[in-house]
Amino acid sequence: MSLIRSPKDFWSGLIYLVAALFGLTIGSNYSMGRAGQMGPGYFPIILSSLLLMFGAVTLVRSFIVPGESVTRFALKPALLIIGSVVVFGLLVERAGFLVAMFASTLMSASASSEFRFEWRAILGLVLFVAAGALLFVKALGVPMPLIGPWFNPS
Amino acid sequence: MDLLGNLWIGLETALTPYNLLYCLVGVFFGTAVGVLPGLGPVATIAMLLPITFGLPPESALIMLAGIYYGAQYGGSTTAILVNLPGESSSVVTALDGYQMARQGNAGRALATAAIGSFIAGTLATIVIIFFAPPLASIALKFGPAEYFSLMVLGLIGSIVLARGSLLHALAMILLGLFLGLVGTDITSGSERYTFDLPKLADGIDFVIVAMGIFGVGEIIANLENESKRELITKRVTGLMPTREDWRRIRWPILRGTLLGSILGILPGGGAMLASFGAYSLEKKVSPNSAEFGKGAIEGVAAPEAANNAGAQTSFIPMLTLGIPSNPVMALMIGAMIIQGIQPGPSVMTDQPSLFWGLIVSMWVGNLMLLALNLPLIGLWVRMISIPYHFLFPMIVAFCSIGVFSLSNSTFDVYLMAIFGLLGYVFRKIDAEPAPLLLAFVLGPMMEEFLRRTLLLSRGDTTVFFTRPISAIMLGVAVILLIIVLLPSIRKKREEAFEEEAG
Amino acid sequence: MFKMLHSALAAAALLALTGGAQAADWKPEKPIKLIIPFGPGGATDIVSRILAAKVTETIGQPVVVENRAGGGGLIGLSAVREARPDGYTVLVTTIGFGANPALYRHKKIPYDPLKDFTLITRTAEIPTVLVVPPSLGINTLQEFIDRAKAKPGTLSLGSAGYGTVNHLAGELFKAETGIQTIHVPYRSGGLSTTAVVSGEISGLFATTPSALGHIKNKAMVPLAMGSAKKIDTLPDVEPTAKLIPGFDVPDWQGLIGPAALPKNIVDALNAQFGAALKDPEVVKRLSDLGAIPTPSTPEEFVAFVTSEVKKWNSVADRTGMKAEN
Repeated sequence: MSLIRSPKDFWSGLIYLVAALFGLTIGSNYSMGRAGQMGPGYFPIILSSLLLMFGAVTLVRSFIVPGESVTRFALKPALLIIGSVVVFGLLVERAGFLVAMFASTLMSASASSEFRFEWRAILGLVLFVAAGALLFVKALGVPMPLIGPWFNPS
Repeated sequence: MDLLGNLWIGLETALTPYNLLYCLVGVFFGTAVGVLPGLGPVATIAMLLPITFGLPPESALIMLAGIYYGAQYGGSTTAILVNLPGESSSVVTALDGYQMARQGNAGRALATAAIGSFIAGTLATIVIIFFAPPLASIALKFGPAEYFSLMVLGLIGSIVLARGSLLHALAMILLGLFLGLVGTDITSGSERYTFDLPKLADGIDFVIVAMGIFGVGEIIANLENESKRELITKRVTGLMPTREDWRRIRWPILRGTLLGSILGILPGGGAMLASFGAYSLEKKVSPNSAEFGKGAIEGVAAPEAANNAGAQTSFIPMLTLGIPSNPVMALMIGAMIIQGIQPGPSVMTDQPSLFWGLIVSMWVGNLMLLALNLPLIGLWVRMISIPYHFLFPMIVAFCSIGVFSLSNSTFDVYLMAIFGLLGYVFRKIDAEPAPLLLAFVLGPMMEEFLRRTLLLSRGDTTVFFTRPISAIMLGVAVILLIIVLLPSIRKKREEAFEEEAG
Repeated sequence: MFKMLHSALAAAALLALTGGAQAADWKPEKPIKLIIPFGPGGATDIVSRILAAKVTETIGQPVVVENRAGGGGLIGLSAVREARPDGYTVLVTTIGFGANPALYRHKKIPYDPLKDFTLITRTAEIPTVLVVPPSLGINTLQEFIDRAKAKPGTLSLGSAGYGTVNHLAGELFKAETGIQTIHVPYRSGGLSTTAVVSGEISGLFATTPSALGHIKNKAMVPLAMGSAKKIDTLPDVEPTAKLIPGFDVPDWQGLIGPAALPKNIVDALNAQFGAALKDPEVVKRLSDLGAIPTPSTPEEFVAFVTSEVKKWNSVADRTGMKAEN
């Protein structure tokens, strides 16, 4: 804590460094070519090297120049919102659109501190899912099964 | 003059009750798919194409064109209201538009976007009427060297987008360029950073990155301090721009229109560069530049004008040379071929009612959009004033469905989840996503054009400086870089002096 | 909204229908999914949508087009390969289908065209034509070959990417003539066409619909057909085969399903799509698009793909063409 004088810079620098190292490691498998006739590896290596430099500078600076601290990471909303997106992806082709949308929206809604599990919320949710089914599946023809193979094993 | 006769033909064609109806149907559908995140004009036009078989060519093209510019309109509505840029050109509109909405000025932001687009559309139509053939040749003068220089100019310009430190802006650009590398390298055909996943072979769709970083990331950040956070204020100020607003947006709209009209002609990234460029330009020249990013009305007016002007002028190379400047134009060419019309210079002479009818209909369509959208503003504003804890689950759901519908793949949904988390992390460390997104789109093209230039010149790098248009743009890029760097260098020196003095 | 419009149109057409093709003993009981392994709007997509609309009228169930773009068609292909062989998931494939094994043979070959799929029928093909910019000052195929031989590596041939018809035709041309040209890939067919008009590249084996307008406007010079036959819209353009016997690279399309698709289903689909391809209205729509219907028996299709695989492997032997340099 005392060592890192600018936590925001520290974390940014770390992200740049990780991305750069990742880019360099994988990118080194691609052929470089020459400046005149560049191979697929030329751009990635140059980019990653530049990013590495920026990351290093940012990281070093975070120990010298004081800066803002990072506020607390809101774990619960992050997990619930990201989770609801993943749940939609997992369920939409297996359980079908209706179940996927219901579960996913219920999950994201519960990220709010205002959320109450009560009949009005559920009713609203059911209406929303029905409207979504009409709009996207019926009218726009997005190929999502309403009822997925989980409930319809033919 | 012949022009008046031609215009008359155009008016006669565009104003028949049938064509007016098809135009209305087009702009209505366009607005609808534009407002819904993830759905875009390309898929819509492709789906409707078979239906147009039975229509006369004028009506078919008028309707399809309506979908295209209607979708541009609709896209900015979502960008302003809920910070979801569904298309690359509405990213910059979201920057200040969403801030205005949060401050209770959603109505004024939407009206500014609508009016700015309308003025730009009108002026761009005039540009097409008078200058279509000479302007079309510009598109052919742009070889890979010119495009590369234009991309460089665009990227340097994007540094202006950033509010914070130069170091971080540059790093975010690099990160964006890096993300853009994912997928198949056009020039060599090799896959890069795809982990042998076929779903990554065509790269990551822009919409996934934009919705994840902007939409989902923003929602998590908003939920962080829900109790303390002022929800989007109920205190909604007027729905229409004030006299003061008008004074502020007048020149930005005109400058945006000019930039958009020119860049829209260029095949490739023209339309998107136009909105980014217009925003960067205003941020530099505006007396209110400190407000940019915090809800400056100029930051909505200029890119929207540029965006819409570009959408109109992108028809020029299609109509006069048969060259598509974007995927939508490629579909329009397909529609013309189906109707037995070969796009090219002969369209203007052989099919005057089609050519001029389409141009006049674009202006009529813009008028319809204005008439359609201004009354809707009140409704939109009421929609976002419903409590946030009802609104955000719906936004998340729309994002998931929209991203799924891009290529009917759940893989894209998972990718968006990752970018959502990344977007939240970026917010925590004050990293700005706009330069990243621009670089993400421009990066692959920049590399492609660079390597194609060298492939065709057989390794000779001097072509960038010996071709005049390319040389000029690189020169402007250098000047811009100096202008951007100077203040921070001067500031550093001042700081150093102060320290010495102290 | 669109879907409702579609079904309304389909219903109207159904009412007007007097008699469809007699199907074999397989009758679908639910909608058939027709996968297009490319994004909406391309030639394959449009042709397939026309066919799907026609077959919907006769087969008694909707044929629903679904775009599964990506990986040069590989994503759509793997979706079909993994689907149940029940006739409800089929795909329209193109020239890359037979060429991918050759293009990818230096790494993992993604699939076996004959073992991993059941071939149902060829559907249509789009003729190709070698075009050059007028500024090149070349007017015949022989001049092009002579120039390429005199100054090796100065002429370039564009394409819409590796494994597309433009690229493959160019590689076959190189293999047959022994000339050296630079391959310049673009992001799409439209962009490569533009590059010929602007003189950025020295040539392109273009699909005829994309080139006709430019040829008519004298923005492109046609040297020779890339496909075997002359076409009505370009009566003066001789096929490349006149100089190089057997040269035939059209942009072909065909209907395939998962491996081990039962014979009665293959026959039923073959009959339905074959009838649609002979329908006068469909023939007219396709020819407006510049496409030629090419219905075939399943056996003919198998023989055709076998020859394609052989052809592209032989080209890869001679030019070293692959999907990755």
